[in-house]
Amino acid sequence: MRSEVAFVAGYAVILLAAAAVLHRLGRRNSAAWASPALAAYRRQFGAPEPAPTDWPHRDVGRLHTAVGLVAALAAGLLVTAELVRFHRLADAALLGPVGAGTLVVVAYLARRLRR
Amino acid sequence: MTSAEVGSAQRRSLLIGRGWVQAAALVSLSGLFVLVLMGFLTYQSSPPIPARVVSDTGAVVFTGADIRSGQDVFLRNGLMEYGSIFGHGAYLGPDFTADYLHRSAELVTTAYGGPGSDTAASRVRAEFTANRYDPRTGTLTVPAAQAAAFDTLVGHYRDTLGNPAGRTGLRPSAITDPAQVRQLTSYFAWSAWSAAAKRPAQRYSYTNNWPPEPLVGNGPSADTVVWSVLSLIALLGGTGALLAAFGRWNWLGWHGREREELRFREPQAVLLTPAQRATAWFFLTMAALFLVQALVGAAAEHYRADLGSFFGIPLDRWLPYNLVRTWHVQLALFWVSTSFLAAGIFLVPMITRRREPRGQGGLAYALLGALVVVVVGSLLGELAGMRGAFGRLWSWLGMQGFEYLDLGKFWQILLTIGMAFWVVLLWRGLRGRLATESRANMPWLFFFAALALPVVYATGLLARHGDTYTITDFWRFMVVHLWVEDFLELFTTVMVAYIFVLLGVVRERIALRVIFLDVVLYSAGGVIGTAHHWYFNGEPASVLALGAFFSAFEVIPLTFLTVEAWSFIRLGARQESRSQTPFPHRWAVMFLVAVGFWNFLGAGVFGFLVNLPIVSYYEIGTALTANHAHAAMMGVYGMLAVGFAMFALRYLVPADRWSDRLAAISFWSLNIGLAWMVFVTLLPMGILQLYHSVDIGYWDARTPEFLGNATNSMLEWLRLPGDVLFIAGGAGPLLWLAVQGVLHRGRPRPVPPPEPAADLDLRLFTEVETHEAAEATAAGALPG
Repeated sequence: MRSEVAFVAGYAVILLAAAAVLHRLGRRNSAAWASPALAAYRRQFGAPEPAPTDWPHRDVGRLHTAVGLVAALAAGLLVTAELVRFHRLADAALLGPVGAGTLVVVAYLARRLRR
Repeated sequence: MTSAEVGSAQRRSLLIGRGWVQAAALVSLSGLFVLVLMGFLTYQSSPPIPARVVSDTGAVVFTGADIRSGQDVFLRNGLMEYGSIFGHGAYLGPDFTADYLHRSAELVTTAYGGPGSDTAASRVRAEFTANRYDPRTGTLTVPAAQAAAFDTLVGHYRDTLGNPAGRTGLRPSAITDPAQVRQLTSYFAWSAWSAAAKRPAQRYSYTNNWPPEPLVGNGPSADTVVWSVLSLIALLGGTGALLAAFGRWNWLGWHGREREELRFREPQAVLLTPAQRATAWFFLTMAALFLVQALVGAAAEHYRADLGSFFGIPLDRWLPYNLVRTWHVQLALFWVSTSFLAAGIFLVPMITRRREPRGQGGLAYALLGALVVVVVGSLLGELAGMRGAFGRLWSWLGMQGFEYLDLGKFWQILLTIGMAFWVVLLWRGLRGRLATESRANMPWLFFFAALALPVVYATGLLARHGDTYTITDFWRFMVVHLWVEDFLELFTTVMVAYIFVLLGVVRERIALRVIFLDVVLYSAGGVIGTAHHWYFNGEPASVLALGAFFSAFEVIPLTFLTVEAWSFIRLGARQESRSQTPFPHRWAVMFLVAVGFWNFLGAGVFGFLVNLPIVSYYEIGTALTANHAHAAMMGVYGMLAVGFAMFALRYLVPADRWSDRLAAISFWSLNIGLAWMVFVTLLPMGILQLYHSVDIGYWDARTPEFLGNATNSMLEWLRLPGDVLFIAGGAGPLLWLAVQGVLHRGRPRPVPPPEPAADLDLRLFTEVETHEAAEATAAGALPG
């Protein structure tokens, strides 16, 4: 197997992990008072009431998911380009599963982005 | 009571504890003291320029005058925007320090018996690292083999830099004068000498052993490794300590602001002053400059994908890489600055809540005219300067040549004067309000942050082409780092905080604490952290240590202020939910959201990725630097500049002409295009280049052969869709909205309901009421 193929497969997996992390970061409540570091403060004063509507927070989440989706699409594109260039069995055996994983992540993030 | 006491009594008192002001003053003065100290070290410890370099036989190889003239040739021809010197500059051409050192060491090795000879290898290492400079006579003596290698390399640079066929990224026959080629080679040879020769009484070279070059025994110094480890500890410890402290004591006081109601005013019901209407032209100029900057950036990128031609057109004849790259980095500063200048002018009447002084609109147009003169004049000057125009005035009118300070000194002075004129403009507008405020309250902080911009930018005027490179780099980074990354960041924080205060979503007291916290954190990390650009440019190891340790703290405010930005934004959402009128600035706020995101990823994560000395040692001048630069410069300052434009244009463009859809297209296209650029090309290519640098050699990782190999070419070409989306979908709609702003800026507005005379322009943004008053309003007890 070529080292370049191994690099692209590894980089694609890192991108998929980054996409998942970004999506997760976008979903969490990122208000300063929700930080674990403020647990002591919350115990003392209590947390403020949640906002009834919260579009910036929702759109912050969408931005994270969108950038995550771009990262996943980048992984898919790089894996595809690499498969076009190198498609011996050993190369395809590594790139194929990564490509399949990419499809799953892209489909999931695209679905979440549309919500 | 004296008149002074009367004046003092009329001022609104300081809204926060004096401890904040004292802490900010103490930390910033300490930071500036260390910066001055590093400046002193720079002048004391930069590598000497010998009066003459002679071979063992006594023959003069080249002189100090040749080295200085070579630096002039290098700058005048825009070679710092083609390749790099000491790792600093552009990334298409070679790093000339590493290039000369490697080629020279190879030639000398061959002369001593070839690469297979152990004796030759050890002799080469011993000779290159021995420092035979005599400070009393100013003479540097080199072995005859190194002198012979110099002559050979003059021919090499004549053939590459003067290549009549082009296809190098430079224009065909760019530098052909034999004297200039020899001077240029002298400059490269001197930089390579300072990279290999040990500092007196030290075990490392003038450049802390940079670049990595096994042939001469250059490897990471102990300082490079140890301070990398300590830098990591500083980051982890500092972040933990800061979050824990804020969690424990809640210094900023985020709680307790739920007792207010807001009603956002329709943008069309807001009266605009003549100066505010003039900003429509600023934002159109900004959008046009942004579009041009992105287009020349695309041309520069094309050179990396295909050096041969631009789809069959020999672009290098008219727009060589070093020219489009110069314009790309200069326009990045110009368009962002244009937006910041305009945003400052636009905000002043909203801060003062008074009518602006007579003539303010005319002065704003004069400022814009001056700005256009500087932009057009300097860009054309760079074009002509690279082609040899202006004679002895080349550094004044043409290409001064320092990356990011490429514009001629005349234009640089005009730009500084223009910014000072802008501060005068702000002062005219703010004067009445400033007289009634404590000097540590927000109006004054806004003014001081604006005043710092021309003052700090002016320090870049001290970068003089005749000085030793290390000294010129010290002053260059006063602009590239201190101005852009610290003082522009401070002005940004003040502006954003003020906008949120004016919108009524954040209390002034909390915004003030955020600003002072920003000053404290950036003075500790950012000011001293400027030295992270000086690891390997001829500064002593102590500067490397200070830079590594303190720049780690830069990431902490980036992380912390991102968290803080979320809180700002969530507060906005809370308040909107209680407003009976729609929030008009959704897309301006979304661009601020993007600023927070890219601040964390582009400046924080990607910045720290290249910040450790041991990483920078192998990485400097590779695509990983470009990765950080694009994600941070466009992601933070670019998005912010567009956000300011969206904010102001929402008032300038009538509701029936405004399009949230176009704003959304611009927002998503810019963010997706930037993410594409980073994930598809810059990051993977940077990782490959770093690996190659460690595995094979830094010199090799910077060669056109490596950059143009099949893998890298594929990565460069795959960037195309993202760039097209960025330009067409991002810059296009912004330009359209800016045109609408200009076309409709003077359109008559509905007459506002009668209000008390003193309060006429007061409610430009929002109406803020206490909770009780809001309930009474809702019950019909008060007029709505």
